[in-house]
This record gives sequence, C-alpha cells and structure tokens, in this order.
Amino acid sequence: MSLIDCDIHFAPAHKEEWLPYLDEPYRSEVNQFGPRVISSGVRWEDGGNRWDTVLEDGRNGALDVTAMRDQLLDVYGHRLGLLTGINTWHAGQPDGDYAAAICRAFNDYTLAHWTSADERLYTGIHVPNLDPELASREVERLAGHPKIKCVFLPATAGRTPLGNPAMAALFKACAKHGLPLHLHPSTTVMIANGSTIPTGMARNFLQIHVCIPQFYMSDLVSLVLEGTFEKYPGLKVMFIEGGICWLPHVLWRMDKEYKALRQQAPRLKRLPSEYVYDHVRFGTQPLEEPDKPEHLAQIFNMIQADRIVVYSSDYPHFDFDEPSFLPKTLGETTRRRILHDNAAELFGLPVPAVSEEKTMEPASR
Amino acid sequence: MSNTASPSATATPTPAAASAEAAAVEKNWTEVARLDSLQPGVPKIILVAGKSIGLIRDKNQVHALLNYCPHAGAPVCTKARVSGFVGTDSDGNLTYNEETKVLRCPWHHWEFYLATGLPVVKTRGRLKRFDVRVREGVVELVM
Repeated sequence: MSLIDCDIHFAPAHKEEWLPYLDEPYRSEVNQFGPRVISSGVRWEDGGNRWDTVLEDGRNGALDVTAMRDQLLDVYGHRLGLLTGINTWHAGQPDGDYAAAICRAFNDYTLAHWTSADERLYTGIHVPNLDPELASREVERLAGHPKIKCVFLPATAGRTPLGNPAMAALFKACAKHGLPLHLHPSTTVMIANGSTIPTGMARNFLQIHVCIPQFYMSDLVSLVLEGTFEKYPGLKVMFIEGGICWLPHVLWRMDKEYKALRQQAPRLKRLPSEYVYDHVRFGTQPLEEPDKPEHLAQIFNMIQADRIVVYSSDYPHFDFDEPSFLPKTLGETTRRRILHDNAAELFGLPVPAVSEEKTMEPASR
Repeated sequence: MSNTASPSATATPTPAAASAEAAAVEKNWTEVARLDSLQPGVPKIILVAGKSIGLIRDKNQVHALLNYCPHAGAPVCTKARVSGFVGTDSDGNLTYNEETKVLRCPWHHWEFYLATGLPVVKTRGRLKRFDVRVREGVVELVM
C-alpha cells in the first residue's frame, strides 16, 4: 500500500551545510557565535531520537538521506515523505527579522539538499511564528515550488490562541495558495512562551509530551469558534503529534456548548464539528495504546477517521509509529485513507479511484 | 501503590530451581562468544539457529535475550541502553540502584529488567530470555 508520511524529521549534519543560505548580518553572527538557542532543563536523550538510527560513525540517521532511505523510505513503501525538519533554532525567537532569515535559509537548504535528493521527499515552508506578516511573505516567496506541500507552524504558535485575528496575514496566504497549515509541537516555542503546559512550566518532557493535546484542544476551539474557516474557506489545518483520542470530547463539547452560546460565535454558519471534518486533519502519532485495542478502533469510528486522520511516523524520534500501529480491526478502505488518501487529497495528489464506500466501517472484534 | 513490576530477586535456590538446574546439565549448550569480547552494558547481537539474540554482560554475568520487543516488534537489543534502576526510597528521595539493571528499547525507550525480561511498567509481554552460562571465559547458551 502506498504511504504518505506527514512527519519526518531531519537536520543538517553541521552548520556549514546551511550557513551559505543565511543572509547577512546573521550569517556572520551565526558563524561567529552559533545560532540563537532557546533552551531549558528539558532532558533530551540523543535529541529524543531512536537509538537504532545512530550510524556507526556516531551520527544520527536523520542527518543523512541515504540512512533515511535505509531506515524509513525503503522499509515502509513511502510514496511521499514530508520533511518537517527541526524548529529548535528559529521557533519562538522574539526577533522576527532574525527568525525570518533563519527560516528562509533553512527552507532553501532543505529544497537544495534534501527534497532534490529523493523524489519521494517533499517539505513545507518554515515561517517566523511570532510575525504573521513576515510569515506571509515567506509563503509568497516559495508557494508554487513543486516540492512544497504545506506551511509549518510550531505549536503552540504564539502568545494568543491560534484563531486570533492577528494571524490573518498567514491564514490568507495559506488559503490563497492552497497550502495546509501544518502544526507541530515545539517545546522551544512553549519555553519561549513561558508555558510548556497550559498551566505553566512542566517539570520535564514527560509531562510536556502528555499534555500536547491540551494545547491542540485550545487551538482547535479557537480556530473553529473564531469563524476562521468562514473567513478563509480554502484554509486547511493539520494537527500533528497530538494523537487523536481527545477528539470525541472536544468535538462533542464544542457542538453542545455552541447550541447554547451561539451568539458568542456569530460567524459560524454550521456546527463547529462540521468545520473540523471539512478543514482539519490529525496525525496518528503518537497513537494512544489502550489496554483493549478495540477501544481505539471505536474512537477511530467516533471521529470518522477515514475522513480526518493522516499517518505520521515522527521518524527518527523515540515515539515513532510504524504504519502497522493502526488498529488491526480497521477495514481496508479506512486503512488506505489514513495511510494515503486523506493526505493525498490534502496535498493535491491523485488518489486512485476505488469503488468502495468511503464511510467508516464498524470496528469488528 | 507501585505501578511497577518487581525485579526478580535472585534468592536461595528452591527445590524446583535445583531440579531445573539438574535438567540443564542435559541441555545442549552452544558456544556463542568469549566473555572478554563483551563490553559491559553494551549489547552484542548474534545469530543462533536463525534467531537474533542480544548478549548483555553485567560484570561477569551474561544475559541472553531474544532481539524482539513485545511492544512493537523492534529489535530490542540493537543499540539498546543498559543502566541501573532510577527510583525512590521509602521517604521519596531519588535513588539509583546500580545492581538492578534495566534495558531500554532503542525505539520507544521502554524499560525491561535485565534479570527477568519483565517490563518495569506493567504491560503485556516480556523479553524472552535464554539460559546462559560462562565457563572458562566462554559464553554458552541453550536455545
């Protein structure tokens, strides 16, 4: 089965690879002092990577496209792998001009060194997340490139909920060019915002990682109830690395409360959940693992996973999921839509015609 | 209440264990490595009878584990990390027990007790272990 993977990490092996793409005065700055880094006491073990991806020479596989083929692309049958890169250097930088320059350099480096190295590899546009105007300029610069499939925004993106009208310039640019906005958690951004979990600074990465869906709930509610998808009907948004099991709760609660408090969301013309089904997609990884696998299959059914869920591996990180992690009881059609078709439609790729019905099959036991 | 499984405490041999040891004499031991070729805490992967097995040395003892993780099927010993046990004492102070070794899977970093193959955090499955002995510097195991 063809596979589309919406989250593959990689990084330059050393700064000399990408530094030539960085504009002055920042090239001299980074050359002399290194990139500006926002960090904290978060414990990373080998960058949070799978230890088996470390090569014999000690380098990590995600620094090398040959290793990526051997460890991922040739193993699982990728038709398309979306390179999400890293956002440690630029995400959350309060200096928007610096962040924009770093994003430009990283985008150009990725297109020159990675997506050109393998026909299966594609990427998106990194943008300075605290400056939507500069972000929209970077989208305008690269939209239309054949290897660009989305716009990356580190989550949670800023100091206001994602649906805040201040994001208008970026939403408008994404919608104009048909590029989905791809949200991926960034511990760096959370640290920069002084809030690694919604209630403050968590003690460690374990707590941060578990609570990512809380940020996603807040951002999804904000996007939908602000009427973002009425303002920008062409806008699509992807929530990556938040899992999916929080969705029944938030979809049901949004619809229920909307019935009573609709006057506070006057831009909406339909139930909140209907905008989600039409405009938002959710990555599988890290897929929840309940004691009873049939419970997971039931949640897939509750959220119409055959419409809104896309596969993401998170290679080479420690919480990597193989495609086989999907519930065994999913029907063949649903499995194909999650592993391929939903993302293909999002990225404007041809989807093979099939005669099977598209609705979710009931989970069998 | 603890949510972790207990490590196996090696103890005085029980009659059943003594009986098992006697039976082991009859087992077909296969020479697989020299002890001095094993770096403590660094798994060595060998192939025996078509099975990938990780040999892990802890001082002068060797553990042999099937190179397969019951969680997601990863080659659990390949580039796995072995360390002591991080926990707390009865007062809640952090402790590090060098004697109780745990192996962490290279993929999802789950922990398993080296001595038993049991998962540290309760879950289904355990690592499959093989009987191992070291005689005159030679590591032997029974498939």
